[in-house]
Amino acid sequence: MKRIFMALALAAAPAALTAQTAQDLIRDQDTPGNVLTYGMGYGLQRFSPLTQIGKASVKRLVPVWNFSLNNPQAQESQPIVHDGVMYLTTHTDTFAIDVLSAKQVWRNTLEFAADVPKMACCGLLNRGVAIYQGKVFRTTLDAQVQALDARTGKELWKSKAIDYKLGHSMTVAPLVANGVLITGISGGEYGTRGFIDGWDPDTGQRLWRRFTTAAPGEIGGDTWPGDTAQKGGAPAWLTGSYDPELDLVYWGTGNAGPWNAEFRKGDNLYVASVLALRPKTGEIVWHYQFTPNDPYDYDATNELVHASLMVNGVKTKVLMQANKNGFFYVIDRTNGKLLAANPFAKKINWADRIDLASGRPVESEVTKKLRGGEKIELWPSAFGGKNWMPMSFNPKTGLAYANTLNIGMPYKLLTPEYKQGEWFLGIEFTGFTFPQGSRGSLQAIDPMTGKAKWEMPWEEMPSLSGTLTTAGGLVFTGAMSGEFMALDADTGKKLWQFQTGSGIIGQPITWQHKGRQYVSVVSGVGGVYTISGDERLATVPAGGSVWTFALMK
Amino acid sequence: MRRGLRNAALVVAFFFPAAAAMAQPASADAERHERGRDRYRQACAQCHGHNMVNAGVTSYDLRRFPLDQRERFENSVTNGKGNMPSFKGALSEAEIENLWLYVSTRGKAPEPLAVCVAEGNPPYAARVKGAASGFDVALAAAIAARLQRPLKLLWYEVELEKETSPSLEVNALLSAGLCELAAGYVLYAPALGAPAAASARPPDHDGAQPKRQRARVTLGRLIASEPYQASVLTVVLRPGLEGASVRSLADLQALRVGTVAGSLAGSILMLTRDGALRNNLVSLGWRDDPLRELEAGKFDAALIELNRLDAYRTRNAGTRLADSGYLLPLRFNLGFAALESRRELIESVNAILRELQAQGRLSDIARDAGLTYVPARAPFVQPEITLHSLREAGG
Repeated sequence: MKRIFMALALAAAPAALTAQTAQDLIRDQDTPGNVLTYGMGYGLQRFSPLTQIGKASVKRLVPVWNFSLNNPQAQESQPIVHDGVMYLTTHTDTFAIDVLSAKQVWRNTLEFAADVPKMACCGLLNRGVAIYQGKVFRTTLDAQVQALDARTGKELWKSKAIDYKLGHSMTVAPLVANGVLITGISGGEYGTRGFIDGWDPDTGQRLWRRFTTAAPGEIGGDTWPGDTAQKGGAPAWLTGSYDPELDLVYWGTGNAGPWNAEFRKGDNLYVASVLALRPKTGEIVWHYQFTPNDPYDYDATNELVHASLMVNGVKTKVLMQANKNGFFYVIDRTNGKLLAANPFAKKINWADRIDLASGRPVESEVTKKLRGGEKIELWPSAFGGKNWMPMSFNPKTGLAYANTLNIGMPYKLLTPEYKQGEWFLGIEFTGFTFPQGSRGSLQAIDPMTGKAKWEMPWEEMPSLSGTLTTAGGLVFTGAMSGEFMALDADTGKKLWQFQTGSGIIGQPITWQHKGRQYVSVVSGVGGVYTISGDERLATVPAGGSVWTFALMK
Repeated sequence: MRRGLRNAALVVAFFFPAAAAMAQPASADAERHERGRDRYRQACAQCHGHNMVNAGVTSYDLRRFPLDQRERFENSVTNGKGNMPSFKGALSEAEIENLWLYVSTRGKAPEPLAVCVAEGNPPYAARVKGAASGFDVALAAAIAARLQRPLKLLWYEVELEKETSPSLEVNALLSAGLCELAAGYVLYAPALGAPAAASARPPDHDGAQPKRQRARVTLGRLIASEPYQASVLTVVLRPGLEGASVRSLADLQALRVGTVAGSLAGSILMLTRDGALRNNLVSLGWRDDPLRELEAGKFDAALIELNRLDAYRTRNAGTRLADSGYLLPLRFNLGFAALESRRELIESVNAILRELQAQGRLSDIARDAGLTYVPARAPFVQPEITLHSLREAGG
């Protein structure tokens, strides 16, 4: 009898541990005890209903632990929290950490061939794990997808997406939607062809591949001259969102390759677009292209944040994106119709406006000059009006909180030369143009107008940190110089600040454990901004670690 | 004293007969530097920053790479180091060499030393099918090498038979910033210091606009380096007169002497001994080659710059022209001219010239160029010439 009981108990144990079911993932935003998805909910709102840390109490916020990631590179990983264990990544390691003791539960280390870092355009980094049915999933710099046992860190399977030597890499945090593990590829600067893959989470078998450029003969294949789609870019390097009611995954695609658009005249589907995909098949249900023909490295990979907004008096399911091209888009996510597209970037000179009826940008005189062979000064630069750092959306304020950039660049077309594993740009890339003073600000953006309700300029270096917002009326973000801070979501007033050990380019999260609210963020400078040549970076020591804060007892 | 200046101008003019303009070969170093920079932008900039501006946070700050550790550089690029990937197979040896040139110059291509040289003036300077040669060219190259700068030659034409002064034209080239040094400049007092005119039009040169569109340039004050060679006039005799003794111009009394009217030599011959030689003179045009005519026996002797005899001998190996061995006591030293504001450069050039002189390199360079080396004599800068001094020049 006792033996039978033991057997039953053992059989039941995995069930308890594998509670991250499809339903759990759907309910992630409403279950603040865990953070199970990248974006803190399928809608990527990075909004938490927790209120223990609020405008008044936040001044009592103190660090409760710090954990070294043993990695001096860029730290952009969003932690996942489940059942008292935090999972996060660096480009070399996956860690499981006990959320109370901050002791390492396990660590899984990757090995790379010596030429792998060549294919990382913008820093050696990884953006985090997905968790599903007792497994933790991540991508690797050498373009593989790995599944680990959530309890032990033991590798369960590892599947190669593609040969990294072609110029590919992977940094994306995977998405599990309707039981399918979905990943996107990087490598848009290297003359590659982008794609999104669906995997069987149990076996690592690839279920489908959706190429993001249309080859000759495919629908949209006529938007590319010759076989230019084969090196046409459109990588898929940031995590998509998911609407379980519509069963649609929304995934942004990146820049076209080469950057020289005269080399590939046409709209170039599906570069710089959002694809609405069926997670089971990868079928494209609809698409919207933000920057047809993308002449400027204007990836549309930035997070696609869900909201229910009143549009013309009708409550509408929308997607919001602060696009690299400087415009803030609101799209009906049931059908891909453009509802609003207004500037949020300080200076935009590549397009005069976005035409709502056609959904297309009206290219400016500056862009005509560039296409005519002239050297121009482009605003915003290839960094974008906003780069990868995810914004958050607070349904209570109706505002999107985004770290934005105000940087330009000289831009001139050259004949692109392809060499495998190297940048394939076809432009004279000589650096950036910086404005006098601030190079970026934290903006509280009204989605329908693109206007900032309040704005906090970064006086020193701009921030490439994500933001987090809470029902407690707060916005959390970090500075390139390492300060982690809380601001009043209504006014932008800084309420609290703590200096971490390195620069923050990570993604803050908040969660609750045994009745106490915690805030966590990784610190570790690096990433795409190091290309800027900002000498002030030299004043910020590298070194990755994760910080966790709670109110002083 | 305008006449004195004009004569000096003619000296310059005489040294530099006109020749057709030809393309300037680009400096190999500058080209390699550029290739290194382009390769850097494509293969390295994403980690090491544009123009190597890098905070040294997550990747190595190449601007601090020790300049004496080329091997370490090559090893890291070839084999990788830490997070630095291996570029074996991706970069050729030549490409790595170019990258090192780019990195070891901290990204700054050394500005080429631009030296103005006159066309068609062998054995000082000449271009044949684009290849530059001559004593001035080799000397300029030696100076540029010691300054660790690539050399850029700017060729210009000296126009003859016109009312302009070559010293003003050289001044215009320097004042327009087309070159920093002008080679083969006659160290003549009135041609240095304040210019004789407020402005001048630069002569025809590589990349020049057509003359009508060429703007006049406000002229600056010129200074010159110490001399590196003396330009002397010699008496050359036709075949058959090999044994004739010439100890002064008076010894030409019984000979027919070919000369170009208005040239320095012509003026001296006209004035010597109160015109005693006038009836012996056979007048030649600016474009005539006195030595060819002399070889043909059209006259018995010519008073001509020694370097022209050198060039003639190089061109005509079987010549039977005889060098009398007589050198006119009046001689002009040659040096590099520059704007007064470039005194520091002139000081460096002086130091290099002294070093070359001490090592015997000047005479080597001259020999290689087929030039008879005539060391400069004091005074380094020839004072203004008067009619009297021209009369007495022939001794």
